[in-house]
Amino acid sequence: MSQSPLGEEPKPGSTYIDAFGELAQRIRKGASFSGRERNCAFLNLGGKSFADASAALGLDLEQDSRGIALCDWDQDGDIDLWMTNRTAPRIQFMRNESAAAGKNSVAFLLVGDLLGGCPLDAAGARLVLSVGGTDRVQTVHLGDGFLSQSSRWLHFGLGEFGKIDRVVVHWPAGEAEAFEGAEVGGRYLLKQLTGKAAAAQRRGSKVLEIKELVLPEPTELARIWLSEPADLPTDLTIPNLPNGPALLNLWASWCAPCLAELKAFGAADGLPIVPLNTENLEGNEGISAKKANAILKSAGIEQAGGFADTKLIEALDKVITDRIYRHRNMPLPASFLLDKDRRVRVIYKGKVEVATVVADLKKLSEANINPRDAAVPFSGRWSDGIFKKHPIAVAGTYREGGYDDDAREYLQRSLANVGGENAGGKLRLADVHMRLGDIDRDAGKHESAINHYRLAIAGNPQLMPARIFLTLSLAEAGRSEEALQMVANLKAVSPGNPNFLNVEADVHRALGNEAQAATGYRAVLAINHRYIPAIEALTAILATSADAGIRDGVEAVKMAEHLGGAPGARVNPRFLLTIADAYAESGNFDTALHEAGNALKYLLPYGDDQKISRLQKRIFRFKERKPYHVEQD
Amino acid sequence: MLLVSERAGCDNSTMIHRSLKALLLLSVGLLVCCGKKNDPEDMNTELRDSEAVVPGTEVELLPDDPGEGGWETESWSAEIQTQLNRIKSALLDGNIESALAGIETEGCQSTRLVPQKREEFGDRVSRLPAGTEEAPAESFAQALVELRELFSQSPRHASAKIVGISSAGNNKADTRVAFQIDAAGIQVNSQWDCRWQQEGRDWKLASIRLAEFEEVRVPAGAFADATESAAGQDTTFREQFYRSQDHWMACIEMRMGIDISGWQGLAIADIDGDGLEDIYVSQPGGLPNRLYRHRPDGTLADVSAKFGVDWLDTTHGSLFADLDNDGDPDLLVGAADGIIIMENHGGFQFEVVATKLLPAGLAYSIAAADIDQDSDLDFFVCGYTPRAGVSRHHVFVHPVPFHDANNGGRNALFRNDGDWRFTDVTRATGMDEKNTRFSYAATWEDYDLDGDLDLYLANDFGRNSLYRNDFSQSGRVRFTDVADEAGVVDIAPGMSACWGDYNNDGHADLYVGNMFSSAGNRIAVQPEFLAGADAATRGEFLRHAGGNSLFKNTGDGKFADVGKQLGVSGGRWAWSSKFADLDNDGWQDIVVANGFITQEDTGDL
Repeated sequence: MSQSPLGEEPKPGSTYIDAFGELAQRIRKGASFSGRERNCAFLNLGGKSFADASAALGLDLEQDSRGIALCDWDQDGDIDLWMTNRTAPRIQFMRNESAAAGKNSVAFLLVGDLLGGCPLDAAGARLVLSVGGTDRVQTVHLGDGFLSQSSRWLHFGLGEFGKIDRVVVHWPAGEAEAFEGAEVGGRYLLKQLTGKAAAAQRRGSKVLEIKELVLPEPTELARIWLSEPADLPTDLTIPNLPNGPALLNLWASWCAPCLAELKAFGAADGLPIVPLNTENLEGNEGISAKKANAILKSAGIEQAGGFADTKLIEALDKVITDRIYRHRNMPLPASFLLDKDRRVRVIYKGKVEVATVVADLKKLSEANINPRDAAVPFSGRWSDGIFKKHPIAVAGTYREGGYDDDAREYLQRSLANVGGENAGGKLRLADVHMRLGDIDRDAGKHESAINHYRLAIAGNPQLMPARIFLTLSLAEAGRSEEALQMVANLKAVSPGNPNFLNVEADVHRALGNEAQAATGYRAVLAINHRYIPAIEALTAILATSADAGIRDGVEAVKMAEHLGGAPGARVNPRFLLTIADAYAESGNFDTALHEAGNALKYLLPYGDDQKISRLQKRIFRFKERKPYHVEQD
Repeated sequence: MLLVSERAGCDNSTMIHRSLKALLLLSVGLLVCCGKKNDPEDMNTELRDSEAVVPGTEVELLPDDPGEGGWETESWSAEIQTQLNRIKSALLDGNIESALAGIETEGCQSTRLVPQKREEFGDRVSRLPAGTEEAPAESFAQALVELRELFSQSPRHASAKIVGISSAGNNKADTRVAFQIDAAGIQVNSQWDCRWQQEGRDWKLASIRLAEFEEVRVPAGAFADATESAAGQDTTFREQFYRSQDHWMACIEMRMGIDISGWQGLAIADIDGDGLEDIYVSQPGGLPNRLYRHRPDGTLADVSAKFGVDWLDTTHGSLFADLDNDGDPDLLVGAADGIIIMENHGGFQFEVVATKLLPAGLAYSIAAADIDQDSDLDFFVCGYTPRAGVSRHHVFVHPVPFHDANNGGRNALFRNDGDWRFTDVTRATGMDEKNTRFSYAATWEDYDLDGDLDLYLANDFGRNSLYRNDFSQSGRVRFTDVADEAGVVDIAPGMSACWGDYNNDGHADLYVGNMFSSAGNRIAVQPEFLAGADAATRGEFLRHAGGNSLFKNTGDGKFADVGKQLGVSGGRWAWSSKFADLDNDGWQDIVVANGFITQEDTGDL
């Protein structure tokens, strides 16, 4: 039972993993799995049932198909298909010939308008087309099926109906809108708020011919430039290996292409070829050394040849299977370009042109080759450097999604890899601890946060945010003496720095000393009267302190007006709530309700349950014409 | 749910393994044993001269015994299939009498295989009325001759699949055979009930009865392959897409991120506002993604490098969406490391303006919608496997538990905050529930007509999700998975999903592409399958092999699966599926892309 795949994580060696492993191996060795299946098309028989018409329609392609994207490519009034396949051709275009000269369909492209509350792409807009007393409905989808996106044009077949009665679009977040002027056979733009179907320009009438698709013959020939050199085992015997680069060439006397290739090699100047005959493997005496050498000589090969042994063949085979998924057997001829360090750099399955080898030899000696670019058959761009993937960025991704536990785990794992004794390593380690401290502080794990911030500071004494957050964490943990000592240290670094004065006030607030906190924030504002965090905190204290002696509705409203002018404040639910609290304390409940209502508007779509419920309670309170004070929450 | 292992106990774990293994391996086993060896014609001409291979390195396919999974009927099935193949060939070749000598028992009973009475569905389709017993034929051969006479020209293709098998005692077996035969513009789909008698080594046909019959006639040449004239003149297209994934798997290192499975899709949009729609195609790692402009004459012109979208990183899904509402489609590329977000500059160039890593997911399908009615597009990304680089080179992941797995990658819903900033709000909106179920596909629709967009999610191995958006009611973007109560859980390997109103009743219905396995169906119905497991689990396994679903929206927030009843469940090993009115009759038809991995070994099974 311990290995049951139905209940637990499968363990290597379990039947379950074995079953998948075995299947994967069979496929790699060339077995099909649900292969040669024909694509399906089901004809809708009036909504009552469907008939399998795959073959009759000509859509029963035997491909391993994947994606389907629909569009009326030739704008002749019926839906054509673009598909992606695993088998060749990997993209396929199926032209539809069903339209009766474009006269039994109509098509619409919906365009939203921001004034109507709809994105221009009109995703989710629903068009209701009335014909012959029935309604047909289609929606604009941006992405569906599997890995596919069809055209945004909505295509309606009309059958026998020669007249469109009505076109109504239900815009998401908007009103339903009727559009005039659509006729059978047309293509129209329906722009939101215009009410008119605007005829779209039609593409030229040129029709793509149906031509037979002639695919190239499958080939086992391959030139594989390795993105990273492959070492060969040190105990291999490679006869007559020169110093410097070498081209190992596997051949046999009965293999016509091998002989032709050897002849070409022989005719070329100075190729570092190492011909290795493969007829004496596993102790078979397939050919004598004398005969082999005679063949090489007649091909014009100067170099002494040799025999490949089984070990060498196995090693070369392994180089391929380690890197390349699909490799059935070692073809003849096959060549391997080795660099001066005896590492495999290029593999040639089948016959290779001399010019290719010469070019690759030259490339080997070039210093500025991007190994990955050299290893792909066509040029293109890699996303290198576009994604930030260092531990802090990855942890940031987790944090953004609210997956703090994953962020913590990821950073903790990364501790083993960042770090190091050099200065850079220490700085990186400090950054990781800093982020771990933030995560723990948000989770209310003050002691752990304190620990991480201390490690961050140890790694990077200049990391000021770590000092500030350590100070606040100490205060939040109730460790007042240490927190105040830290504040004193900070202030000593830069007396009169409003950032540190603000930290001092925050510490007092966290420790419950609101009067001292208020004094502190005032000191900050005396230096910089637009210091937003201090404005916000002071407004909140003046409006909601449990201590009536500290509360001051009039001053709170004055501060709230400042706060309301801060960038982004009018859409920030937390600021708006603080502003509302200030008005409530001053007795102006109408404004308080108005501002709290604004706060709810911005909090509602994505706010968490707790915050929304707290805000709703506050609104209820204001309706009862009661201000909010801290002990009442 | 309760886990089978807990209920079944130790004694049954072997059986569970046997059953699972049977499900997984059977199809392959059958294919291998009946297939040919490597076809020398597939070798390159130059190599064929001497069929040159270094001695000792030849790869032989492992011999496989269809009975290996422990299912005797699977051996029978393989043997009977050879007889069905003879019948198939006889019908295609036309020399029925001689080709079928000795295939029947003495006194074999056959009904007619073309019904005399038909139920007509319009002028294109007719069927054997349900419950009708067809009259006896003069002989089996005569029944086949009549079937062939439906075709004025030679039939092009036929297939015979055993979809059910059971022992009838005394060396007898009963099979349900799905038989299809077609030519351009015509196809016959039938189901035969056959009884076979084992005589010596051979199974002989003892009786055959027509159980279902459908004849479809449409104008010949409705669809034709115009790939060559649309794209054949483009060098990049010829060089890259006229070659199979298998070809590139033999040339490109695995570490580039190339996958054998070919999970690459495409996106269509008019990128430059010229009224002609253009195509972006994803490619596996090591091959550059391609953007083809649509020229006025209908042909493709490659502009990938010029437009800066020729990413070599593994890409599965991509999507055009006007994220900045400036009227041209921008591009989302689901690359190996995450989402590359590119702004469309006037239809001449795309520029990277943002990237988003996924919180442990490898991007598959992407779907966009305005979820919070703030007039900009947000988007959802399926994150099939947990981490890029972990399992992407493998053909298979390891779902646990197999039939209802929840150890996949995380999906992510990104809110558009303007200025190319996007925030992951998956968890904040309640979508992190059941969020790691190997999701392949997602699509938005206001299925309950309450004014906001809901999301259907097709999950491989497990239960699908229908996330109902409650924005219109509550002002909160909160998604609740209502798949259970709505009846769209669809516990089957989900590959794709699309919305469309198939019955023109004004409500969006749902078609879900799943894996359909003949072998799975043959086995999962047998009493020995998962013996010891409870009925619910057995049912779930059976559903797993059952094919595609068509969920009819009943208008009250619920759906009814009418896929089998309406004849659209047999989509085989499905990938993309899509509603489309193919014949302009005003009713939404369905197209399904299918087939997993075809290599050289198989015949058409």
